[in-house]
Amino acid sequence: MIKTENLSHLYSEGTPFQTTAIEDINIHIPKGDYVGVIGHTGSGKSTLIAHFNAILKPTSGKIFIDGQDLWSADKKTRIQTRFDVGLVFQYPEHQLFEETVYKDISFGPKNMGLPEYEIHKRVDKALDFVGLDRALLDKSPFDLSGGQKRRVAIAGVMALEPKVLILDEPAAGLDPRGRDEILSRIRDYHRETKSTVLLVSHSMEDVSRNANSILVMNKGRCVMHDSVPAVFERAEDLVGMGLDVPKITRVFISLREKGYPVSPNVYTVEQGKDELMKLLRKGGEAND
Amino acid sequence: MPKIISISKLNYAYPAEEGKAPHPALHDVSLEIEEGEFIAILGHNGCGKSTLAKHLNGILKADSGEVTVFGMNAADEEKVLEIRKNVGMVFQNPDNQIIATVVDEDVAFALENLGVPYPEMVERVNEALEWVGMTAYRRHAPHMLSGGQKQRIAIAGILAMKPKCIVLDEPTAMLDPQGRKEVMKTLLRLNREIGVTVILITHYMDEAVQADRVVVMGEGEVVLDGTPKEVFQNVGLLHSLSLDVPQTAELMYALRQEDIKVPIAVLSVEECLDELEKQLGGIGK
Amino acid sequence: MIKDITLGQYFPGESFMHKMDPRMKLILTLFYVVSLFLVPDFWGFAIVGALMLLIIIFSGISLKVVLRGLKPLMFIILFTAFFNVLYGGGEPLFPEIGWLSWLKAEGVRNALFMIVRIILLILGTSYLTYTTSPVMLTDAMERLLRPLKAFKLPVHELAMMMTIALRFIPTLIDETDKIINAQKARGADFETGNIFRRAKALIPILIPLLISAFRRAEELADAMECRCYHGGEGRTRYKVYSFGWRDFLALALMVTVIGAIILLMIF
Repeated sequence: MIKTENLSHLYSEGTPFQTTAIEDINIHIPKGDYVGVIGHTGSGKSTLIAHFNAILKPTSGKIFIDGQDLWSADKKTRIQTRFDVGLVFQYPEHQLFEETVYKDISFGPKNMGLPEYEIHKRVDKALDFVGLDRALLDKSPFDLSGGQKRRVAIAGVMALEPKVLILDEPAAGLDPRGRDEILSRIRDYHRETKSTVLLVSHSMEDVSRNANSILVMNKGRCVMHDSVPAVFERAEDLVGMGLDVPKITRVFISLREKGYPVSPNVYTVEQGKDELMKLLRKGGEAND
Repeated sequence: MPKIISISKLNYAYPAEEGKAPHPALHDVSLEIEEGEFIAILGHNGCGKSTLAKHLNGILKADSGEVTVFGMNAADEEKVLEIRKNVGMVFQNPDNQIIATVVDEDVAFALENLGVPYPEMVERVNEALEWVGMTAYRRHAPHMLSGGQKQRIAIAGILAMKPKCIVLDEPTAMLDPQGRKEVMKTLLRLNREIGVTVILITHYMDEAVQADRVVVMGEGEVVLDGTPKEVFQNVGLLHSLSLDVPQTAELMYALRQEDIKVPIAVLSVEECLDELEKQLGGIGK
Repeated sequence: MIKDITLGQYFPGESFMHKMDPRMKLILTLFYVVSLFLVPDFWGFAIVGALMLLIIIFSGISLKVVLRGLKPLMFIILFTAFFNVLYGGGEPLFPEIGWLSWLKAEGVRNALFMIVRIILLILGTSYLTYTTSPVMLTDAMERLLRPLKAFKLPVHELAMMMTIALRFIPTLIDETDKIINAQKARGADFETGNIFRRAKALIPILIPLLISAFRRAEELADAMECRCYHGGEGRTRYKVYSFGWRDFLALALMVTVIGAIILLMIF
């Protein structure tokens, strides 16, 4: 679905302020995958995703969306890419501007030039995906709560019905309830539409609980891109990069270091409990 | 330790907007805060924690009940400067609380307002920057700094007033993990080393467990109040308030439901390891 | 894109000009502008030009930068010159060439006079902003205008507004960039269509920007109150300015220049 070849991007090229944002990225994201993109601030993850819908032009290298080389194609194709690859920026509620929720969500579909009935259908569908009540459609988006605004903004991108949905820190600044709500909505969206989803996040916990695979960015390079268990297999490396691995992973890494036969690959409480119960039962049997 | 803030039966409702009913935010909240405490206040959005914070230095005024800070009524217009000097406040968005275009000039803002004479002002600005570890950036433009650095500048701007108490309203919500750690380290240092009372409103459990005391709010009321260990004992209740529980406590809670006798309020990785080793006792080694 | 526009140009530095008291720079710039309008002939411009040369040398900012800044103003300069030529009186410059009869000696002289005056004017004021940060300028203005408080002019408030505006310009530029990208991601088109279409296409940028500015203002007001802001009464200042030898030297130079120009006017 998304493929890059030696993708690099320099900011302020040719000036004394030139900095390398991303360097030599070669990745392939298959159709229908749910990818967590992690890395700390300045690791290049935001720069990377801005290339996927042609907002940024690579300094060198290529990007293929659905087999199409983005920058050797004509401008029309690139505009179509904006609709094929939906990008939800950080704090997306700051982009709301219309008088009503309905109008705001339909802004994207309208720009696509869709007929009114199709727009209507898409707004309805997007509203369902983010779990908002239809009664809100005629309200001003500015009268909603913070979490609701965020969901309206996300619906505005979902209504494009993109093949790839990319979300940059969709839970930033929300309380645990709002965070869980949004993440579970995105999970459902992925399951139902079978589209490709990229979740950019600082939180290893959120990523491991939601994604199927993880792409780790560090200092402008893609240092890991593998399934969630395979990435956690290298949890020590993640700690070395200054990423926060879940507390529970740290507990199990330590248990293993102490010589207990537990998997180091534990990142949810559920897994941790199962792992411990298995061991305790084994111990129980041995005592009998 | 002497009590520095006492809140008794505080009620507050936001005034009605056009065509809407007044929006109640606090209901009979009573709380006592002692000098030198590090308190974390938890609760989901809209539970009234920010509203409570704004009563502590007279930004909002109680409908009924009373807030006393350092022996003054927090709503007393006459003493407003004295109150704000003693109860400093830091907000969520670091961009929206920095006033000047150079770091040290921003830190000096409160001192200018208070009419502090020049030589003393320079000394206090230097001292405040030193405490938050931003001396090297004194001549920088704030908008070029990272979120964590900006928030430390905001803290320095409050610190320069030499407040006895600092209230922070979700200061880490917009920061990355690195910035969060920087801010938390700074706050702990201020609390432990110069005895500033810290009232930290947060959503992050790893921050709350480092406090001396945790207050949990829900729907405008105080629901739980105690040490982190006491509070995180109540995993079920916290879940019902849609709050996070530290993963280690979560694990213990899950094991308890399998009839394994472990304590629930286990808050650090090390502690969790100890408890698990006690249970495992070398099985499989 | 939008970040490439250099607003309120200021080049940080440690030169003689940079180290001068902003109040003195402001006053001297005022004198400089006045002297330019007193200049009676090209000899006067030679004197002012010499002063300008000193300013350029002692500011550490190359003339190239300044000339680049003049480029967008070239149109206005040429336009003014053209009209001066057109309406100038006197004898035709080339009486034997009929179609050049409108080119008169007086007109050409006037036009040249105007060009030199405008260029010197732009250069002088530019070097004030090149070597003085906007905040220092605001500060200097506040301090110089302080006596006007007696006439109920809200000097402190105006200066505070300027400072805050300057502080938030980079923040709002960043924010504009973000909003543009976010709306582009929803297929917004800012580049095609006639002027009305394009103006309408700005709504999805302007409204979020306005709302954000209001939200910031509200939060900033709270933050300022929490830091004991209560207007200009009883405020002390963190930045103290004092006139040094550079300022007195510059003042002496300026007085000499004005003196010379007045002499030129009399004789």
